[in-house]
Amino acid sequence: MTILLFILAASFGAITRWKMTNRWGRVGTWALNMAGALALGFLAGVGGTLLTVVGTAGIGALTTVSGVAREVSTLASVSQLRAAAYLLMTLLTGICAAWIGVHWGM
Amino acid sequence: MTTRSASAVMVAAVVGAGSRWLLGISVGQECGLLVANIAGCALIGWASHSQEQKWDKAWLTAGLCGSFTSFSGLAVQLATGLEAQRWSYVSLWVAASLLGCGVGFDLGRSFRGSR
Repeated sequence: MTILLFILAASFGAITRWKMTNRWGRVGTWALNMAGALALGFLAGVGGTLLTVVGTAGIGALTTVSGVAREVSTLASVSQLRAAAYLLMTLLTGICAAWIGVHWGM
Repeated sequence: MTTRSASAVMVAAVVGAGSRWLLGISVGQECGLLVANIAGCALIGWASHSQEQKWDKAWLTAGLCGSFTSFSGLAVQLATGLEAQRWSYVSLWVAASLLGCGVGFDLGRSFRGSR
């Protein structure tokens, strides 16, 4: 049962991210990364099957580091300053979102 | 989005997320996530140099690389480290992630470009 839920959650996360990125570009990737960081922070104190299915599979597949790396590379070909700003903003807002989630979940 | 490419993205996503989960069990959650993020960036760097049409590599970029890497896991790891005031730990993981992912991406891209 856990494996089936894992498959469903990972598929849902990846398809949602793919559609959002196709529609909104790097704004879509950023929004999903923030939502995912907040949600995983909220679940940080939870363990077992719920964390494996929702956290590792669903939220893990919803958020991406490789997508950020590709966005940064694309931006860097136009402006290195914009690429650095995007990377820094993603990292800082992501940590803030996760921190809020952790405190919210306590 | 065609049914074929959506199915391919879903299958690749399950493989990616499953591999990250197994990696976390094998070498520990933190190291596993770092290795997955660096390897995923190298792979997407390699894929981004491809000349194939966009839908042809969606399974690899959006599916496999996207699900193998996880931003949420990294953000929570750093946030809890900051909460515990483990400054050196957070600095080390930020440096390792940024450097590893950047170098990985460039290595992957240059490897594809050299072929």
